[in-house]
Amino acid sequence: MSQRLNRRFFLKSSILGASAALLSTKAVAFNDNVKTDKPNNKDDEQPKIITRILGKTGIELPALSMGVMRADNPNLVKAALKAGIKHFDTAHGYQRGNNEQMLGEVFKDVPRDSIVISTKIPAGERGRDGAPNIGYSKEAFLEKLDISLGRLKMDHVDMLYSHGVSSREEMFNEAVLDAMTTAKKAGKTRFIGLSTHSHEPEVILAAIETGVIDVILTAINFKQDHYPELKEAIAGAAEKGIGIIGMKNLAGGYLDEEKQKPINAKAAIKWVLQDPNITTCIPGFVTFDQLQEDLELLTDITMKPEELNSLELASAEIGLYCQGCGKCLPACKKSLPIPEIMRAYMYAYGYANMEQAYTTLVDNNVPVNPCSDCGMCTVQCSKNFHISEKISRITRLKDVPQEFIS
Amino acid sequence: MKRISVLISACLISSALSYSSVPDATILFPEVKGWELTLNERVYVPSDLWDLIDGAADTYLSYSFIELHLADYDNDAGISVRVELYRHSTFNNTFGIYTSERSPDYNFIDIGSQGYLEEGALNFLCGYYYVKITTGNQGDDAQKSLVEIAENIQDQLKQEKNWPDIFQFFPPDPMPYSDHYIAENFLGFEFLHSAFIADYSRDEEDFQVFMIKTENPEEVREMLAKYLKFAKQDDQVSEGHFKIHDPYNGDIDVILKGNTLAGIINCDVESTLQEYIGFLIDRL
Repeated sequence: MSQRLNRRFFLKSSILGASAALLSTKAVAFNDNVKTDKPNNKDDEQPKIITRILGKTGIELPALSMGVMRADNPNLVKAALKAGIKHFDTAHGYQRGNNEQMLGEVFKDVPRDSIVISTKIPAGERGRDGAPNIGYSKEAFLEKLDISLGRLKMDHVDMLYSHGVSSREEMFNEAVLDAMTTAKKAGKTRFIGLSTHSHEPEVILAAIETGVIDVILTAINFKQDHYPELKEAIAGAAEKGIGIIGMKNLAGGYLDEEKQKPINAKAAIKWVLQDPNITTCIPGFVTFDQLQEDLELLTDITMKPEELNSLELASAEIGLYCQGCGKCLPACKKSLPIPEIMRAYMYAYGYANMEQAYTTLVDNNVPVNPCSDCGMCTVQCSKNFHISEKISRITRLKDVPQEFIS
Repeated sequence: MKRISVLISACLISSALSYSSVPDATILFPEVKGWELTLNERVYVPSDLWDLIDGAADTYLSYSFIELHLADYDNDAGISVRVELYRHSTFNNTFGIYTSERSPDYNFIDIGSQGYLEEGALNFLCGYYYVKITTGNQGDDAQKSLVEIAENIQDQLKQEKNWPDIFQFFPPDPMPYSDHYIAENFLGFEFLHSAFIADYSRDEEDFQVFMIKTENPEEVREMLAKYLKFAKQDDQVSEGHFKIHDPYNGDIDVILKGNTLAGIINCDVESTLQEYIGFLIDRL
């Protein structure tokens, strides 16, 4: 989809969001699957927690949940629980199981029915070149689930996901579907589903086809090129009663190369929650400040005009990273290795790794400012990168004496 | 001109922090007799690590992950071994990601700075590299294969068997395999970072000791000042002992000395607390 079209979709969504904002918090409650509740241990004067029903599971969740993946401080999880967050998301592989172990310690004395726990188990190791190697047997998948339950100190999880499904083929992995339905029948999970952060519309449509999926955890944010298709797929899944949970809502977290301009987290999450088919989001806050900021979303998900503005500006920002699609290559009159040069740019401006940037330029025989004697640049980047400008900026690095770099 | 000078400054800073030689897949993975080596052409970088390890990537990124090289080894007996070399920006960061995935219950073996062998997996810390070796095969031969490949990788990488020096200043007898490193957001605060931690158990009291050592004293003093401000305490920052009334993490005793901030977490037994505070004051 072109940048312009993408922007149009964003603005359309923003207008819908603005309408919701005008209707205030109460407007959200007009949706059938939305309710409000009181925060834990709060008096009647406190604003009520906004909750939604997770599809046919019937689970009622606050609009804000917690992705625990990077949290290593149990007190952060305890603070989230105390504040009214109910759903905590982890995975078999996070910190090689230490994340589940930490949650198990935190929740060992918490009434099991007061929390909603999800974990994810991969369908198999990624094979060579990152391609999915659909290698796990049903037994191996179930063995990993048992290990996860042991770490969590629980006899069941509420949602068991197939982790990181990225294609229709992976969705129809019979061993995994069989394992998950077996686990559900055995009471080791109440519901089954999948997580996806690649080719989400395709995966979601395939999930509907399986007829057994209860919940989908999907990447969704205001910067996705394919948001319209994703929104449509989500609507189709919701219509079938599949519960939808959103993740990766902050689209990388920063607007700029120097990581000095963070994306407005609250606005980004609110934007996702304007779709009533999204029951809850799982931001991965790692500090108490981030938690406090996100907690406002428990009771207010209306978009403010300034939040809409911030997202509109953010959506217009050009991403930092080349995706390496290679579509630019035939258009370059000098046959420059553009993806490699963009990689060098990413090393330098994204990760402050000048040595790696320098090495990448040297390895690819890129001269200093190779575009200087080339008139009009004929390269059109699919991500609308200003290719010649970025090449000019990064190749100056080769003018820096090597002793300053390595 | 200003941009160029900024760039050069960034170079200087970066060079002090980063690895000292150029990684190349062909020199990272050795040929091993009896094994066919297949180098994976794709090198994962921070922007696409997600493609391989999904949400686990976020933790790697928090430890300044640089790149991941992969290769596969296959032998005639049908055993396939996969090697993943995760390179991070500093040894401390590599130590941090390694220890974040380590459990004291693992079967530790003599490999690299430290490593362990589990069913189908051998992971170890090797300088700037966190090496993860896996196989889908089962049985003794498969486990021996993991060790054989690991030893060859270790020899090839030629990294020093480092361990963070700062642990020599810790109190004696920490819980085995409890030493670790938190690069960011220590205790859930953005202003606390680069913390080394070890667990202790004394008279059925489990607690932790941490140390943060910065390049200059001002940096660590600023951390303490921010912590005191967060806790709404108006103590003046100076060298010595402070008790911080952290509303989230409980009371935390910290000692500031020079460019080091040390502390004790979760210790409710006063006599033990005083003993460890005394030790830290003497040792720093």
